[in-house]
Amino acid sequence: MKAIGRFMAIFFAAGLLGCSPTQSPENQSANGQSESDIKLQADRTLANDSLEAISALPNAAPTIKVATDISHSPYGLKDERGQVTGFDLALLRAIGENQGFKVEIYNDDRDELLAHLSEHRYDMLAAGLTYREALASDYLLSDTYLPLPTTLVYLNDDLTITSYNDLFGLRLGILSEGAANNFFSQNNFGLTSITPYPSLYLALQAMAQGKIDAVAGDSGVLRYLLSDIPELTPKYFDYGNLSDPEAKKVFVVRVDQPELIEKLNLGLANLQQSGVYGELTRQWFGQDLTPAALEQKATAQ
Amino acid sequence: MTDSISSDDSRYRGLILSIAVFLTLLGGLLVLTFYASKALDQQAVKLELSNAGLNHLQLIRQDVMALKSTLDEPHTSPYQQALRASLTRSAQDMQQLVSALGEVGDDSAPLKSWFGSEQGLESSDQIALSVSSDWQLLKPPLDNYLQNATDIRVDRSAALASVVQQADSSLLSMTERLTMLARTSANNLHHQAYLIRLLQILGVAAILGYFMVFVFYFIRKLAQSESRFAKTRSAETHALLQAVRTGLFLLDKDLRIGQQRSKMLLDFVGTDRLGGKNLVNILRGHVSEQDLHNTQQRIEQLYDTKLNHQPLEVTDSLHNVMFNKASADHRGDSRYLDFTFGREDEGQGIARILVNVIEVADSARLDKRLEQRLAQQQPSQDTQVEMLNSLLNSEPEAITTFVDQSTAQIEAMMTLVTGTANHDDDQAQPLQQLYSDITSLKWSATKLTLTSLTSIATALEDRVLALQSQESITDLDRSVLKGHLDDLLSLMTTIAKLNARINPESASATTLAPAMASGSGDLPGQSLGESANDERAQPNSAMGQENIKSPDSESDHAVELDKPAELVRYSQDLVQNMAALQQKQVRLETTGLTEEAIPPSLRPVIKAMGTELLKNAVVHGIEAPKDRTAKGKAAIGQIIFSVKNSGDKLMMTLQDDGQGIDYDRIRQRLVTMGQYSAAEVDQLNNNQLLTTLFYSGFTTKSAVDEAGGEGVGLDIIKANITDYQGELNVFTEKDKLTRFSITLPIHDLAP
Repeated sequence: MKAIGRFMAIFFAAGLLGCSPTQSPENQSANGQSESDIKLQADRTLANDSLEAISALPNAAPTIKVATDISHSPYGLKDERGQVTGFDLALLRAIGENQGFKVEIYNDDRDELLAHLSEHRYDMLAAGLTYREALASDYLLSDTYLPLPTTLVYLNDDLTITSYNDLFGLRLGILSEGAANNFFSQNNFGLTSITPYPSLYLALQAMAQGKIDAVAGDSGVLRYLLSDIPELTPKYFDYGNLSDPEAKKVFVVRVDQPELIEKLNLGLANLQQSGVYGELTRQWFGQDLTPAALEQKATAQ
Repeated sequence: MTDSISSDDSRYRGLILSIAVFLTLLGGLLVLTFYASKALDQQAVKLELSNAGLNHLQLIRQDVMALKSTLDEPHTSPYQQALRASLTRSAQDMQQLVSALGEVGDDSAPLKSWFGSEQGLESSDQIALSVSSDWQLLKPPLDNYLQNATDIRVDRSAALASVVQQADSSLLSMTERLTMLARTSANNLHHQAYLIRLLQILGVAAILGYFMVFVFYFIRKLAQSESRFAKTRSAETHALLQAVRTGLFLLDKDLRIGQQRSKMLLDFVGTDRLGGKNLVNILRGHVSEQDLHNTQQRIEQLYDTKLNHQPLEVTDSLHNVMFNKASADHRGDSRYLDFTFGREDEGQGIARILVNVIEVADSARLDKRLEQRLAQQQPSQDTQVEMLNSLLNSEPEAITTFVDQSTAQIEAMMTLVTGTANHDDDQAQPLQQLYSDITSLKWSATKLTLTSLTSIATALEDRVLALQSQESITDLDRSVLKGHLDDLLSLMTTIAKLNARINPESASATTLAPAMASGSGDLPGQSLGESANDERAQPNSAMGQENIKSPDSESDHAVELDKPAELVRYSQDLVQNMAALQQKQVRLETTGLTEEAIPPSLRPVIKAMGTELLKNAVVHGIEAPKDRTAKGKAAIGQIIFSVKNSGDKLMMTLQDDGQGIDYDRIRQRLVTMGQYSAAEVDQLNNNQLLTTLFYSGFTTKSAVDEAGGEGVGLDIIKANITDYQGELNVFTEKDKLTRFSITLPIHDLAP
């Protein structure tokens, strides 16, 4: 029977081949079907990454090379297809749309970002970098685009940390390159150890596996990661303020591109004013951070 | 018939056998194609599985490597989740594939060498086994990693490291084997597809080949066979048509001849075209008006559906129609034709008449002439002579009784024939009655030696006999019977009249009445009879009224020759009557008939021989008065009839002074009869020629032949002389005399 079925299939296939001119309307309809499928997929992509996918800019618009660190989610991360995405890139694209430039994204190790920027591999960095004096002296820094202070997270139910004093005897994990590292290098608070990790996720992993007791770092990153790990019940000690330099996230631009800084700042201000910024922060961090950002900006000024 | 059926069978046997072989071959090819396609299917499945397996392995490798390189990334990231989901799917697919691969059996094992020869180093089963074992090595660490990868509290790097380590060896091995399987399957697939194509080509070639064979061999053979049959048929049809064309033609209602070609009719008429012409017009002038009338009447009767109930039948015929090529005067090239009729009824009456015309034989021709004379109620001189002879030899009372009885019998038969028309259902009885009546009549006529009457009665008897075997009697049959009976009746009238003249006192008054009333027409014998009557008065008065005894002693009506004078009277009567009939004048002189003692035993033979010789003398010897006058002879011819008894011998002499015997005419006659050739006849001398006169065949033939006439009844003389051991001498002198001298020995005992 199977053989006969196969035979029939061959026969009909031959028949269809033989009759291809008369079958063309069907083929067209099949193509039409697949075309609509493709369109549907594109619509879904647009729904998910509307700011990334659509560019109203002309093809001749200038392109800015931007580097990010995908281990520093949600500022930079990989989507399910391995494509680089994240809040920083979404915001930067929106600014680019506002200011008339396109964005080309590159992923790089966090430790290498500055060096590679200096080597002119990129025009700018957008990796949730925190304001530092040293950084400001060598690069052009944008206005702060995200008002998120540093925080300390821990899992041990027995612990209750409400002040720096409570840190005594704890093993702390920090991001090897960042504001926390600077802060806790200068203020030990009786910590047993301070272990730097290449990413905050690895630091959280070490804490989950009992290798360290607490992790200090960017509040946005830590909350974002832990919100996806339901088996852990983290507790936070927000030791930083909005006015702290650690609470300021900035885009880093090479010093030879002051006009780019201007565009970034102008675009950011426009987006905050138009509400696009508020929408993006709600999407990535669960709340509209426009007021905090404006407050931080006012405080800084 | 059986032969033709068996030959028909053998004609198709080859064809049937070839079809059977062809179908078997084709069926075999289809079965092989079936197995080949099944094997093809298996190979396709294997190829599909191996390709899918390679694909899964590739995906697994990619996912594992991606996971390894992104070990530092958050396991919660969309990418990590996607990688793990992909790896899970691939692992599941691979698991299913390994199972499926193990299940793909070798269903085509019996024909493996034909269709599915594994051309690789390992069989698909071995490959499936080794892939499965490799997969069993890889699957546990993979499952372990996937299970723990989402738990941040567990170190997943170790698990992934063991996966990577196992994958390095297992994936390579599996890939190699699946690649091998794919290649093998692809090769086998090609091989089997080729085989199927080959089988299909063979099938197509077989079909084409068979078609060619069919067209070029069987069709030709069948065509040849058909053509043979057709030729035979054509020949038969041709022969049939020839036969049909010979005599058959169609006639429509207006007596127009159909377009068919009747060779016989064409030959008779002597024209090229007869189609559409009126038959009566064509026949007119060639046949007698009576025949023409009969023909026309017969055909009209045939078209009358009231008279003919059967749809198609061969009805009665018109026999012995004399056809004269030149004219109807009976002197040209006369032939005798039989017309047979058939009717074609197309449901709405008689459509046309089928006529068959054939020429009848000479004997039938002679019969016809006799019948014709009787039918025309003009008995020829010969017939009259024969009848007269019979009447003279019979007792007048016996004749009268016969005539009375027969007339009544014939009338009864007439009633019987007319009567059958009313009750067709029961016609066997009348026919039987008719037959016995006719037989009785015939017997009586035979006894009185009334030959003409006998022949008509015989014809009628035959007719009735024929009708008895027929299912129904048509009106046509009846009219024919009636015709015969009319003939008989008119002949009876003639006999009655003759008898009345010979024996006025014994003639029945009742006999003549119906005969005259029947309106049979003016008898030539009537006027002839009157003159004969006058002449007869002389001898009657001279000799006196004496009974003449018949020489036939066996007959009931026989007349005994008691006195020699009676022989004289008889001879005188005979000569005068004959002379009257022949319109001649004859005087008979007798010497010794009364004086000489004629032994009683020899009296009948003397009378018989005398009768024949006297008849011969009157008819053939004595010329007509004007001829005699022309020859310078006396108008009245003389016959001398003498008898002399010399004691031991009786000499009888009969001499006439007529024209003598014409030897040339005898020669001519002999040649005509075909007994001698012209050369042989020339060599015969007069004596020999005279001898031939007494041949029975000669005399009998000439007795009825118009062209002949010599030696009527001379065979009787010869027979008697032989019987009585006598001698015969003939002397003749042209235009002077003929003398027959017969010497009979006188014995005590007659033979």
